[in-house]
Amino acid sequence: MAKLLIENLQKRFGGVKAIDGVTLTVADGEFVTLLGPSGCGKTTTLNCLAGLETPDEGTIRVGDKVFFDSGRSIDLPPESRNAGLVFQSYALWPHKTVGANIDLPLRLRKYSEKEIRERVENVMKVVELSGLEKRYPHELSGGQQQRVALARALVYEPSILLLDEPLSNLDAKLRERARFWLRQIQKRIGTTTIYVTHDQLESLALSDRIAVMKDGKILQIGSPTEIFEKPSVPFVADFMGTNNFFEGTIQSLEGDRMVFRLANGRELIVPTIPDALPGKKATMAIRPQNVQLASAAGAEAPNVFTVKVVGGQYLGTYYEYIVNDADGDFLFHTRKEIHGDQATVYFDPAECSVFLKQ
Amino acid sequence: MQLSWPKRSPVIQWSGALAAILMVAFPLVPLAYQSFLDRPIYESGSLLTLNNYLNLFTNPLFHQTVVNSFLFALMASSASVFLGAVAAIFVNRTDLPFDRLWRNIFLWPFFVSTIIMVFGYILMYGPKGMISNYMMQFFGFIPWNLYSIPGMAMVSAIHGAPVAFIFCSSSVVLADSSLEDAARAAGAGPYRAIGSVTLPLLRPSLLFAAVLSFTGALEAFSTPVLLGKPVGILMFTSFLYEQGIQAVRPDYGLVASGAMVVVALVTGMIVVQERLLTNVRRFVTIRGKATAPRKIRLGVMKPMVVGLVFLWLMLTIILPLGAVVLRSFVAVLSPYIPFWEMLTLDNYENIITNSTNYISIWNALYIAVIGGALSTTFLILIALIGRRSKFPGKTILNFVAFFPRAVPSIIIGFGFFMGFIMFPFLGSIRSTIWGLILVYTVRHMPGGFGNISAPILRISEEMDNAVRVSGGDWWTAVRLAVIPLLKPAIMSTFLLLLVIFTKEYSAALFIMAPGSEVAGVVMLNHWFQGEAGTATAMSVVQLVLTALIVVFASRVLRVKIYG
Ligand SMILES: Nc1ncnc2c1ncn2[C@@H]1O[C@H](COP(=O)(O)OP(=O)(O)O)[C@@H](O)[C@H]1O
Ligand SMILES: [Mg+2]
Repeated sequence: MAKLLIENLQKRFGGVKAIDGVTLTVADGEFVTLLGPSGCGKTTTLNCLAGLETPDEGTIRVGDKVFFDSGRSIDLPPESRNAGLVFQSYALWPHKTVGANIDLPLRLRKYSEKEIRERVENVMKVVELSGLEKRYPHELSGGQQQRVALARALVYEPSILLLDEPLSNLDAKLRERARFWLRQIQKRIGTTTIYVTHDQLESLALSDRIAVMKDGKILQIGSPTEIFEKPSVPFVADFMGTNNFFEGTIQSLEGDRMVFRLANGRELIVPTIPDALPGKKATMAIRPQNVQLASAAGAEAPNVFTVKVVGGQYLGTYYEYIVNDADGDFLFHTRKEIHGDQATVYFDPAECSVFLKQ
Repeated sequence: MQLSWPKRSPVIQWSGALAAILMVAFPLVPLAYQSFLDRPIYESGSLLTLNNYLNLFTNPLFHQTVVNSFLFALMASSASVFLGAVAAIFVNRTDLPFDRLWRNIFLWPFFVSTIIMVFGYILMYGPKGMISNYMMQFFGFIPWNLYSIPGMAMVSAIHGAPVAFIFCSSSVVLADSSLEDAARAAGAGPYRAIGSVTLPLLRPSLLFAAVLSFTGALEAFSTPVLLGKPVGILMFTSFLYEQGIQAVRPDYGLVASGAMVVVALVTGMIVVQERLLTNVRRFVTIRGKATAPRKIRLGVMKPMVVGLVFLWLMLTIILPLGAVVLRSFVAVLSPYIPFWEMLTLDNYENIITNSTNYISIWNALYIAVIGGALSTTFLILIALIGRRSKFPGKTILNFVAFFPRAVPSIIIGFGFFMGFIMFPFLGSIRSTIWGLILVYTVRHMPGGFGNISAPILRISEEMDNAVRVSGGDWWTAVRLAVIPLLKPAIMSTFLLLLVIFTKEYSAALFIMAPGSEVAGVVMLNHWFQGEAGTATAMSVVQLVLTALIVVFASRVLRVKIYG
């Protein structure tokens, strides 16, 4: 159990910058998720932490142990790092039983037979697999395999636990349960954990902090609520499920509110942001579920306007509509079905996020 | 916490890689050096010179050799690709009955030493051969001449056809009939569909197979030596054999420069091969992955096709091999005396009573089994280093391991001969079986390395990475997670090397000594001395041993010889 420090990590594959200056501090026992789309460098980062890839530059420290330091030419091989890694494919050894898969790290560390037995028994209890030691990996369900992989990574009490999309091979139902369970285990054993996923729900449910990545860079680090509610760049907002973006110009500032003028001429009241100045270009975002249906009577209030309904679909807990306002389409969710081809909608200023153009 | 020795893996990687590099350099560097020396490498006071090359290029015999070799290789490769492709289409894509049987017989020549096949052809189709004699009786003349470039090309083609067959069979075009089905749906008849869809799509594979067998023909030894040399048609390998071994005072400078020229030519062919292969890979699939393709019904043609296939296999494979067996049981084989009056076991008695004969058979077997096992072990090690490690010299190692492809067996043997002269402290293994195992290992390093590389690359790297993060070093990781998963591929590589080592003998020509002879060389000498009976009896013993091993491995151990 230890604190993890990553400083200015760089890794290039040919012309591709897989990791481009990642800096991250993870407190002892903290659960941090690297969240980002496929190909953004999550696995590469994890592999650099585990020692399976050699970064081009940067430092990695866990506790008082230096894993990697390009300046001092230190690069501990994977076997000397005492890190636990759960692979996306689990990577269970198909020719070894579950028991042999789990006890191998202990045998490599020359533990006594007695201790090996105790530890395996213990970890099998933790992952709720007791009694399956004699089975082979292919005789287990996907969920069980995933737990064997976790047990194998936990059995030697690694100083840091690395998980690469461990739930992505499970079906949706199982994934939710496994998520819950994983979080409980991590809380109980308290190992510093880096978790990699492209699923924003998973990251929200599991993490103490989330680091959103894109093109090898960390765009924003923060608690799940911060990331979800106060995205710092449009990409994060988009990735966290916002998909209505409006381009426009800041018109005027009024205390903690400002007037934002859309390209089609409509003026909206939105929260002020640092560095805002009249005339600056900006992007405004609002989640579909935060767009509300307004009663036709309030049509003169700010941020209330009438739009044309272009299309809609019923999605069980809500309806999703595509609507058109002058020259732009956007989405919104409502519990009520809309009859007719017009609707009046309301953007609560508190739910609008604004990002200045770079 | 004490983890296993941190320094072990680099030591293994460096030793394996250095051993491979030294093994390949050992014959080739002295060979190149000799080609620029004005006298044999073992004489003192030598000077650097280009005269060897000048002599070579002004030697009319060599000019003729170049022309012969290219003509031969061109004919042999086109014929073997034609045979292989036709066979692949019939076996894979038609409802030809007994297709597995035909396929197996068609593949026999791959397992049989070329020298034995050539014996069979001479006994059947040579000027005094049995079938030639029938032709003489019926027509008054023999409509072919085995001792000619086309004759040799035909023999070589039948021997090379299995490789072309296997290559074409693994092509996605033959393994999957959906494209052809589309043509059928569009109204094309079955033969039209094959002609307008399958064959054009097969073209890259065919071209590659052709270049492959062209290279193979340039390296062939038995056919040129047994069929060409007696009538004065020299090819590269027989030219080197004549100049380097049969000559009373061999001109090693000339032999070395000739060898260098051949190596350069074959290297060129391999470069072409590589270019084509990247093109072909798109058309090749791993067999068994696609669903069973729809087969074309032969209909009323069926009896005729079966008859033709049977006749062809009979004439080109079964009868020649039968002739070898028959010859081994008679004192003379002549059309004027019924063979049953000449039956004898004397030829076999000759094997038992003459120590050179049985020792050479034993040596060949020993080299195949023990040498094959050692060689497999070594090649797996270097393949793991080259394909599955962060060893810094990986690229060089992979290049070196594939380089001997460009060096025909007889030249590797000559190179080792030079190497042993240059480094006399290694001379003690030269005259032993271990020297031969070393030569064979270097010669067939590319084959074995290639055979084991693909399966290694197919095993997910996460298997060994999981061992690494669990606390094992590189060596532990490959030992615990890669090698166990490679077992079928290891067995297949071993069987492949075993078969190749059994057939190999031209690599031994320059370096064997009394006591370390191998069967092929002894058979060749017997044949040249007119002792066809002993030569064929030894052939039969070798055939039976090979058959037993291959059948045991494939039926009992279920080893697949092709990757
Ligand atoms: N071994 C490799 N060789 C070349 N490029 C690689 C390699 N591994 C990853 N990459 C590239 O690096 C980038 C990041 O990959 P990765 O870390 O696997 O992304 P993620 O796990 O976030 O999906 C991608 O563009 C990928 O193509
Ligand atoms: Mg990944």
